[in-house]
Amino acid sequence: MGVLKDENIFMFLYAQKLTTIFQKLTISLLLLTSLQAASSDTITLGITGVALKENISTLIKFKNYLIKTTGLNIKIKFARSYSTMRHLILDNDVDVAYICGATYVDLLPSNKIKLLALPTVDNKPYYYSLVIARRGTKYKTIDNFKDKIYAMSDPESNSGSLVPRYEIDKRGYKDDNFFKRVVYTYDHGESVNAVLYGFAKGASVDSVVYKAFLKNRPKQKKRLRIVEKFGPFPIPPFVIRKDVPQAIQDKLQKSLINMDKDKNAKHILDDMAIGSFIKPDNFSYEKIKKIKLFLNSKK
Amino acid sequence: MKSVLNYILSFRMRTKISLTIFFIILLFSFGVGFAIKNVVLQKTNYIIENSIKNLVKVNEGVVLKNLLEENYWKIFKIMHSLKKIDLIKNATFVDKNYSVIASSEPTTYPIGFDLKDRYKPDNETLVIPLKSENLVFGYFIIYKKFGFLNSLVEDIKYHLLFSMVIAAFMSVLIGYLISIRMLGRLELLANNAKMIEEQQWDKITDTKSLEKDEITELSVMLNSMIKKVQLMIVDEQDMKVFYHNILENLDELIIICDKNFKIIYHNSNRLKELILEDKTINQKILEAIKNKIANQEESFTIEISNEDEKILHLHVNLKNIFKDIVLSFSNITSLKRLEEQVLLKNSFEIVGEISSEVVHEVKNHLQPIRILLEQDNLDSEDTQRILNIILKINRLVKSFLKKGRSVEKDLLVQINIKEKVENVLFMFSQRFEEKEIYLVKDIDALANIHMAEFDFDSILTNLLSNALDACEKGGEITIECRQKDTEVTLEVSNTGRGIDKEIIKKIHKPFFTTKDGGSGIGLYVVYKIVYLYGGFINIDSNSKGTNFCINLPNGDKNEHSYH
Repeated sequence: MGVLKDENIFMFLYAQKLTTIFQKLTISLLLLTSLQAASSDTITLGITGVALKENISTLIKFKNYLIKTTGLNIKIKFARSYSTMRHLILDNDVDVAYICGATYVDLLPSNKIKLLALPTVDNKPYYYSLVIARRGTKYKTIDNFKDKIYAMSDPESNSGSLVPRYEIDKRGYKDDNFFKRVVYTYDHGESVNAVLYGFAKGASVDSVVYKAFLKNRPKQKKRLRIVEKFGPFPIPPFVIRKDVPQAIQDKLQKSLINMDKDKNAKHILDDMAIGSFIKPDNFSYEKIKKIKLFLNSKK
Repeated sequence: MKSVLNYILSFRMRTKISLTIFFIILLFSFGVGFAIKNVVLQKTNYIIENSIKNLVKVNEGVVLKNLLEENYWKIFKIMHSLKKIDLIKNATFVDKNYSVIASSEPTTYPIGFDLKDRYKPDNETLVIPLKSENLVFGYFIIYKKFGFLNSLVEDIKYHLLFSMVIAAFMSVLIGYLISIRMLGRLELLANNAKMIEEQQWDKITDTKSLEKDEITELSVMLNSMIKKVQLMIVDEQDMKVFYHNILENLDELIIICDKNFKIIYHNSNRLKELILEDKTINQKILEAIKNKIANQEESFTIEISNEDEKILHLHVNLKNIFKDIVLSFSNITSLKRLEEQVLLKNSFEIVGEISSEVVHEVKNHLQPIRILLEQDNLDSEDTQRILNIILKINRLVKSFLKKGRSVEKDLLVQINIKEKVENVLFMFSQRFEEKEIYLVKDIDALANIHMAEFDFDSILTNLLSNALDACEKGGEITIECRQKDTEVTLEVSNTGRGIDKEIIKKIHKPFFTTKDGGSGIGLYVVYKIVYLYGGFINIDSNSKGTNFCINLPNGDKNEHSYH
C-alpha cells in the first residue's frame, strides 16, 4: 500500500489482452471451421451464455473429457450472443452446441440440427427462469422492478429475456416502457454480477447457471435472493448438426450420457450444476415455442 | 528567551557541539524531507494523471464499440476494472450531456443519472473526452484516489521521519564522538592547568593522541610550556623558601613597606613584637624613622623601651629598592653594653695603672722626704728639698686629676683643622729649623671637627713633639688630614728609626717613656683624649719611620663622643 501497484495495472491490461485473445481466437476458429468440419476427427463445440463462461477451467475440463472419451479433436468456440451462435450453426461453423431452448426453437425450421443430449437437474430436464435481487431489497415480484434498471442475459434467451417479458406482458404491462432500462449482459453469470454490483436492481437468470454461479462463489449467496421463479421450462440442450457423421454423433452422445458415471468427470458436471445428461427421446420445447409466438405476436 | 539562551550557553562544549550538529542535521533533514514530499506529490500526481489517461486511452476503443452497441454492461465492467486500480476512486462514463452510461459506483450513479449540475471540476477529478474523428461521444469522469497518494506521502513521511530520527541519532553520536576526540584533549589541557594551579605536578598528563591536527599541536606546545612553567615555579618556590629561610634566620627584623609605610612583608624576628602594632610600624618609631629620612640618613640608631621598660638600642638601615622601602632593625643593645663594659674595663685598667704609677711615683718622692725627715736637724736646704718634693707630688697629682676628667660639652667648638694645624706648627717652627726637618702637609681645607680646642692642641702638640724627637736631623715629617662623612682621620708620620713592637704595646701607658727626662705622660694624654672622643689610634712603625693615625668621630654627629 502506498506505492503504485504495478501488478494491478498488469492484471487490468492482462484482462484486456485476454478479451482480445478470445476475440482473436473466435476469429481464428471461424476461419478454420470449414476445414475442421471436413475433418472427421475435429468437432467444434459452440458455447453460449447458457453455460457459465467465466468458469473457463470447467469448460476446458469438459472439452478434455470429450476428447478423452470420444477420441475426437474437440475445439470450443464461444459466441457472445445467441444470435451469433445461431448463425454459426447455420453456417456450419459449429458442429455441436450448448444452446438455449429458444435458440433451438428458432433453428428447428432450418432442419439442420437435432437434439444430442439433455442436461438434467434433479433428474429432470427442466429449469427455471429466476428473478433475482440483492438480499435486503423489498422486491416481491417482477412487477416491483417497474421503472428500474434490469439485467437480462440475451435478447433471445428464454429464461433471461423471453420469460420475464412474457410474464410482464401477461400482467398487463407494456414491455417497452416497463423497465427504466434493460441492460443485456449476454451471460447469465454476468447478469448475476450486475445485480451484485448494483448496476441493475434485478435480473432474470437461468436457474442452472445461477446454481453454478453460487457453487463457485458461495459467499455471494448471502447477498442475493430469488424474488420470483418462473417455470419449469425445457432445459437448454446440447444440439448437433444433422450432417455430422452418425458415428461421431453417437460417440458424443455416449460420452455425454456416461459422464455422470465417470468418477473423474462427475465433478465437472457438479461445477456446471448439471446432474447428468440424458438422451432427448422426442423431448418437446413447445412451451418455449408458445412464449416466443406470444411475444412475437405483440411486436 | 534570554534565560534559555544563557542556559544553553552554560552547557558543556560537548553538549553544544552535539546539539549544533543535531539541529543542523534535523533542519537539513526537514528541508530535504519537505522538498522530497513536494516533488513526490507533484511528480506522483503527474504520473497518476498520465497513467489514468493511458489506461482510459487503452479502453477507448472497447468503450466506443460497446457504446455504439449499447452494451452498457461491458462499459460498466470497464469502469469497474478501472476502479480496481489503486489510482482510481471512481470511474464513470457519461454521454456528451453528462448523463451516466456506466459508473463503477452504480448505486450512487445509476444509468441515466444526470451529472451535469452535480459535477464540479476540481483537482480530484479527471475528465477525459471520448473522441472519434473529432466527434465527442462522451466523457470519462475519473475521481482520483488520493488515499493512495496520501498513503504514499505518509509512507514517505514515515520513511523520512525514520531517516531523520536515525540521522539525528547518528548526528548526536557523531557530534559526541567528535567532541570527545576534540574536547578530550582540551579538557586534558584544562586539567593540567588546574593541576598547575593546585601544584599537583605528578597529576599533569602528557597529550597522547592519534590525531595530528591543530589541537594536538596546541596541546603539545602547551604541555611543553606547562613543563617549563612547572620548572620555573618550582625554582621560584625553592628560591622563595631559600630567601625566606635566610630572612627568617636573620638576627634582624626586615620590613618591606611601600612609600606610605604600609607593610608588604616582614620576617618573624622577635623585634616585630616591639616595632609592629596591628601590622603597622609603631607610631613613635615611625616618626623617628621619618625624621631620619628627612635628614637623609640611611643608617642610624634609635632607642626603644621593651615590655620591661628597659632601653633597647636598635641599629636601623634603610634602603629604597624599586618603589619599596626596606628597613632592617638590629638589636645592638648587647654590643652597646659590651662596648661600655670594655670601655669601663679599660678605664679601670687605666685608672688602676695610673693610680699605681702615681702611687709608685709618690712613694719614690716620699722616700727622700722620709730620709730627710729622719735626720735630727733639718736645715733650710733640706726643708726646701722637702717642699720641692711636695710641690712635685702636688703637680703630679694635679696632672693626674686633670687628665682624668671627662669631655666638657661647653668647651666643644667647631675647629677648622687646617687653621689649627698651622697655629700649632708655628709654636714648633724653631725646632723644625734647628733639626732641619722637612715638613709635608696634606690637609683637607674644609676638614673640621667638633671638640675642645685644647684637646685637639694636646693631640697635635704631643704627636709633633714625639715626631720631632724621633727624627734625625734633616728628616721628614708629614701631616695629613681627611674628612669622610662622620669621621676625621689625622695622620702624623716621621722618618725616624721606628719603634719596637714591645714598646708599642706599652706606649699608651702613663709615665712610660724611652726618652731621657721624659714624663711618660704625652702619648697617654693623646690616647686618653682620643678615647674620650670615641676615636682610636693606629700605629705603624718600621725601620724607615713611624705613622700615627688618629681616627676621630665628628663630634656633632656622633653621640659616642659625649660620655
